[in-house]
Amino acid sequence: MIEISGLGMVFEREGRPFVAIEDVSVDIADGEFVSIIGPSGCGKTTLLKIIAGLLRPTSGSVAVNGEQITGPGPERALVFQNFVLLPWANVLDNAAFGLEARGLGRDERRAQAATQLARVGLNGFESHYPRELSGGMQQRVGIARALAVNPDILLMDEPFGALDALTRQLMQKDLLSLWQESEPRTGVFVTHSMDEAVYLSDRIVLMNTRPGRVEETVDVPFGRPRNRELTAHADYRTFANYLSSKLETMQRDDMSSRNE
Amino acid sequence: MTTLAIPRSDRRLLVGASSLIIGILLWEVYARLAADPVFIPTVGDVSVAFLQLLAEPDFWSAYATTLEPFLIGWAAAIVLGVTLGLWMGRSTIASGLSAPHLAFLNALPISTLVPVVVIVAGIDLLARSMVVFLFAIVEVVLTTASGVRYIDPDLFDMGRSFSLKWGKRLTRIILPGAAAGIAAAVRVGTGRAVVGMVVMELLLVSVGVGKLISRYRDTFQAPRLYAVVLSLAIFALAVQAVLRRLEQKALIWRGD
Repeated sequence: MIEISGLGMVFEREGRPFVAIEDVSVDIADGEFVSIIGPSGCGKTTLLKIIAGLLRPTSGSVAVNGEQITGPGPERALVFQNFVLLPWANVLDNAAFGLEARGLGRDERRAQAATQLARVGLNGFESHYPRELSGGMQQRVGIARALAVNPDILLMDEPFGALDALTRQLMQKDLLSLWQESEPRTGVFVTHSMDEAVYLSDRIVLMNTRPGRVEETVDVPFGRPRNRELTAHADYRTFANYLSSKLETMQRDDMSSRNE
Repeated sequence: MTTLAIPRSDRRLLVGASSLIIGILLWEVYARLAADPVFIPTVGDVSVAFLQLLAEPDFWSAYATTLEPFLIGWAAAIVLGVTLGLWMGRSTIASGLSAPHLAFLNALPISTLVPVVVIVAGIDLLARSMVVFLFAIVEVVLTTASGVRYIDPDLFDMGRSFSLKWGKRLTRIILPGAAAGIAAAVRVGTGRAVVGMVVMELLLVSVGVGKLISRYRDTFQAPRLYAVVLSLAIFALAVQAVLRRLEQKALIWRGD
C-alpha cells in the first residue's frame, strides 16, 4: 500500500520558486498497477522520484505499508527512462548490481541475476556489454536489475520512452505477461502514451500542469489476464480514445495558457 | 594498387617512420654542411656518444640519482592528486576549498617555487621530490576532477535507489567512471613530473642527469650533451608508452 498525501514539491528555478507538484494525494493498493500520465511538465517524474525516495518533498508525505518514507528502501526498485546501466560492467553484473548494492555475495547475486535475465529474454547475453545491445535489450537489463532485488513495488519512469515504436510494443507485451505470470507486486508506471497506460494498468492517474496536480483518477475497466487482442477490441479503443482526447485537451489548454 | 593493400594503421606508422627518418637526414645534412661541429654534432657522433654513455657506470648512477626523487614526487603527486581530484569532482565544498589554491598554483610558473622549496627543505632528496611533486600535482588534481564530473549523474541516482554504500559507490561508479580522466591525469602528471625533475637539476642542484648535461655543456662535449638529451627523450617516451598500455587495459570496456 502506497499512501501519497498532500504532496508538494517546490524547486528553485532561475532564482524563483517553481511549483513542480501541488497537493497530490493518491492511494495505491497492493498488487495494483497504476500509470501516471500527463502533459510534459506536469510533475509525473518528480512524483515518481519522490516515491522512489530520490527526492524529498517540500510538503506532504509518502507512506509505504504504513510507514513514512525518508529515502530509498529495499521494498522499492526503480526502472529508469535512459536505462542507466554501468557501461563498464557486463549484462550479468549490471543485472546483479542492485543485489550487489545490498551486500549479497558474488555467486548468489549472479545466480539470481541470471534467473531474472532469462525471464526478460536475455539468455546468452550475460557477458555482453551494454554498448553491444539495442535500447530495448538494455532496458530489459534495467528491468531484470530491478526485479532481481524482488521489490514489492516496481517504479518505472517512462521505461519505454526512449525506444522506437516497434520495440516499444514488444516491450509492453512482454512486461504485461511478465507481470501477469509473476508473483503479485505493485507497479507505478510513468508514461506519455495513453495506449500504453490503458493496456498495462488497473488504474490511471491523469495529471495536469502548472502547478502539477492530479486532474482525475480513472479505473481501467478491463480484467486480467490481458493480451494484445484486447487492443483490437472496440471497448478498448473507445476508452483509450476518450482518455487520449482528454489528455490532448489538457495539453492544448496548457499551450494556450502559456501564450497569455 | 600496392598502397591500398597496406592497412590504415600500418600506413600511419609508415608515414611516421618516414617523417622521423627525413628529420634525422636533415639534421645530418645540416650538421655536415653548415654547422659548427662544436654546437651541432652529426648523427653519427651522437650515436657513438650515446652507445659510449650506455657503457659507463656514471651514466647509470646519474639516472639512479635522478629517478629516486622523481619516483617519490611522482607517486605522491599521483596518489594525493587523484584522491583530491576525486573528492573535488564529487563535492562542491571540496572544490570550493581547493579552487583558490589550485588557481594560484596553476597561474604561477612552478619554477619560481624552486627557491622557496630550497629555503624550506634544503637541496636533499626531500626537496627534490617536492619539486617534482609540485610540478605534477595541479594537473593531476584538475584532470581527475574533470573526469569525475563527466560521469553520468543518473548513475549516482541509480546507485542511491539501491541504497548503494559509499565504498561501493567509489569502486563501482566513481573509479571506473573516472578511469579515462584518471588515466589522462596520470599521463599529463607524469610529463610534468619529468619537467620538474630536469628543471630542478638544471636550475638549482647539479646532480644526476642534470649534472651530466651541465658538465657536457660546460666542456663543449656536444655529442655527449645531445646523447644525454636523447636518453631523456627515450625515457619520457618509454614511460608514456607504458602508461598508454595501462590506460588501454583500464578502458577495455569501451571497445575502442
